[in-house]
Amino acid sequence: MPAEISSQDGFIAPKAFRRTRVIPGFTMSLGITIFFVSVIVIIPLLALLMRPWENGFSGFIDTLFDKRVFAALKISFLCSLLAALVNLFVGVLIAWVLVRYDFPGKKLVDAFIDMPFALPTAVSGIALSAIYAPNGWIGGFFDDFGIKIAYSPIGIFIALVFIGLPFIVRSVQPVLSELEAEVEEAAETLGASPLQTFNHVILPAIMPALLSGFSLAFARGMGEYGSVIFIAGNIPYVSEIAPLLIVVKLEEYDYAGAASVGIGMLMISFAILFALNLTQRYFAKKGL
Amino acid sequence: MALTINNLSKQFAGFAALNDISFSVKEGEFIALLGPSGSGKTTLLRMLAGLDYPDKGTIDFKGQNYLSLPVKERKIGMVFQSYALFRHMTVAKNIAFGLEMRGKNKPKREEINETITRLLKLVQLEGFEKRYPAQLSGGQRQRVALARALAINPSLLLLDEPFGALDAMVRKELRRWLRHIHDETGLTTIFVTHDQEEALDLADRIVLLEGGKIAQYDTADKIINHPKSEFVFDFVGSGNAADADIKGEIASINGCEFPVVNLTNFSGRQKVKFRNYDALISNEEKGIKAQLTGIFASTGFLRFEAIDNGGHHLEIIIPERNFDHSLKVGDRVGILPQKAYLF
Amino acid sequence: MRRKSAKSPQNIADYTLILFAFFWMALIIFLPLASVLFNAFKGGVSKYLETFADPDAMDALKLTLLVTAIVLPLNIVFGIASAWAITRFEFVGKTILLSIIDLPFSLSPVISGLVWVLMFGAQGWFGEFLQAHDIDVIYALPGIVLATLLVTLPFVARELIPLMDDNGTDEEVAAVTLGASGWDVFFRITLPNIKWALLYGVLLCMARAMGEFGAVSVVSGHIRGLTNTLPLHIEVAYNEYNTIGAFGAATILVGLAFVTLAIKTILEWRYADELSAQHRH
Repeated sequence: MPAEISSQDGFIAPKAFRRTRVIPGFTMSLGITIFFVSVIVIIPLLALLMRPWENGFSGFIDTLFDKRVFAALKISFLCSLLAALVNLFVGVLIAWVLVRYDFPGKKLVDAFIDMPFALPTAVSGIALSAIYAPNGWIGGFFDDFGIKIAYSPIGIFIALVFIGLPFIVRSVQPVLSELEAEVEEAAETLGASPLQTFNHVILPAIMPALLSGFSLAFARGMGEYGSVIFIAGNIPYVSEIAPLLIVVKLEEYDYAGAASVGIGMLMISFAILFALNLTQRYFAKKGL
Repeated sequence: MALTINNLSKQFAGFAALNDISFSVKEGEFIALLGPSGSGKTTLLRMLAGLDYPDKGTIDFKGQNYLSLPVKERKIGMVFQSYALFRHMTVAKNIAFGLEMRGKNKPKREEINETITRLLKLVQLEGFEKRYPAQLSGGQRQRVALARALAINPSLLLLDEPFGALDAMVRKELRRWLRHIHDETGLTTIFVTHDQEEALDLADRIVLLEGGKIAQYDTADKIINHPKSEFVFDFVGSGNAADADIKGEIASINGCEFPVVNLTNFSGRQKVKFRNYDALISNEEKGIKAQLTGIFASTGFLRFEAIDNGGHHLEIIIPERNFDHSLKVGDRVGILPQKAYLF
Repeated sequence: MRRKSAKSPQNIADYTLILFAFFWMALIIFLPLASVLFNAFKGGVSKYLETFADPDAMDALKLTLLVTAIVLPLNIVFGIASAWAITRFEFVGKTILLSIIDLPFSLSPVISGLVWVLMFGAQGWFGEFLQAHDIDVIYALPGIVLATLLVTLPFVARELIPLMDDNGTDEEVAAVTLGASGWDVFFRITLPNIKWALLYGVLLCMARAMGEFGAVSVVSGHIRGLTNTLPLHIEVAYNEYNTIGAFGAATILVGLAFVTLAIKTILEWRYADELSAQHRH
């Protein structure tokens, strides 16, 4: 918009002259957007950011390093990391199969990849719990060998593997299918073995997508609640996840404590996102 | 004068997209806005349409202050570079859109249908009413876009790079046809192009822009034969440069004398420019001494490349029938300009 | 896809890969689904049908539908408005706005519930005020709606923004030069071009709104017949060892998930060109 409307040559700046936007609705659409974003996202998050300091910075630190909270954060972190790593391999493999092969049932498999997105977490939670409980289909089998899956960190890990799978597959799949088969064929004609082709040609190409899928799966795992709490058993220090501790603190009306745990979780998530973002930038610089 | 533009200026982030532009257009004229990319030609067209506003200046159209009118009240027929056809509407619906938007003044159904039929006939697309844009070729889409723009009975027709997205054959054909439509409708028409051949061939007058300023506003003939600046000379055709001794209206190089067109009172040694077709090649030691580095055949003429003693490249074209077949690559020749410009 | 690179499996390695994919899908995806059905029908069809006679379950279903009916239109308005603002205009802070819109995706559902307790709970920012005026937000419908809104906010916007960016503004500008008003431009030009993507976003938003558990769990207070949504009802029934009741109610949500996936898949196959590029595979 012109900062100043000149009135030389008898030119009177009319209203329309100041409106340099041709497409209508700027004020209204941006107004609605900012209203929603402020009321639904920004103000509530400010409430979260301002709450933990009630008992000073040391109160915040004390909460985070409280034995039970620290154990929960550690369990959430490790299970999410491990589940995301497993999904990294399995996700690439399934994406590869879906992109590179034709086989009966392919479209069905493709559609069902999104099931963990579509299925309400409480449903996945009770279903997984029923399967892996000591009297369940799989849980019963392992119970005979004295291995507990449900009500242990293994259960949390399994729930997070379930929830994280679509993130990796859906990140990698489009990149793989865009990758020209000719590039692979060129590598082959130059004498590369299939493994070499994968390592030197395909992997670098899908790396950025892989990293973003990984970070999404990890962040989801850190915050996941519904599909985990049923199978986890929620034994303090053993199989209690960080989000559950927020609920526990709220039940004790310890708002500051709940907010501290929440911020602790966000800090871990953002640290991972930031680290992966840096890695991605590094790859981007190499032109990948 | 139908359209008068005065002192139009516009800054974009500190750089002057348009710098004090003034010119006027007569009723029914066909005007080209020509210039390299970044010269401001599209910005100027968008201002006429009301899609962009200047920082300063006036646009007057038949006594109306155009800048005070929003886009929809200007009654402008605009053909976009991408055509911007509504992809979910048939050809007929696209053409009818502007009429449908008139609210209470919306014409009757039969009138709209009549307009569609008439315009499709004008743009030679009879029978295409029910097609969707995706089912048309580039040239056909262009014509639908024009029909849609004409449907609102505009007082001014604006076209942004109307042939930009088409291949060479279709381009030439549509060019003639657009001129024909203009002559038939008598609409004041302004189009943007970066192709000097297109502008020279089509337009009554050409606004040649350079860096947001008008370099020259003239007919094709004037722009070709009387360029006002070296930029204009270079932009509309190829040329060569040489140092010549100038005395009055005559320049001479090494015994070869030739007239200087846009003479000044300058006298002495100065760089002149001449068109690649305004020179002859001789095997005498006259004019610009050079060595032939290439001879290329084309339809109807031959193109010579040469290098002078100072290492400058020269290009001359000569009609095939006038060609001295004894010349070959490597020969030392004299290049004789027939007419030159001094800037 | 430039070239169809998929081929039929040819050797043992190919078959092993495909079989592994099937095995994993069966283990991770199909087995839980089967377990829901198995447990729901464990006591026979009549016992299964009894779950639908349970007034608590029906109240929960009604509340879930009510919440969805409130949240969905709000999300459509926000989605369209934000996509319009972001893709049709240039303004300062656009990138920040985009990341804020995406933010709820990376929030834990529990945090999405927690923030509302911190605002409107007994000891929250507005707690005293609300108590003084006898207004219930937390442990009541408004809290559940707000939590669901926060969780689902990006769904519609995220579908529309890339598509409208792709489509560009040429058609809308052309419509303006032909005399169209703002609403004409939207309803006659923009909406027809984005309708399938809008439906896609609405579908995802609806599925999430009906199935949201964590965020709603924090703000609901689990008051039977009043603030229990369907997912919360499932939790309560499961914790009370009412297996058939829990899994019976879960079949409704599984059905919803199937319908969502089916419509989503159909949209991706049939209207690939009219969805944003990320769904064209």
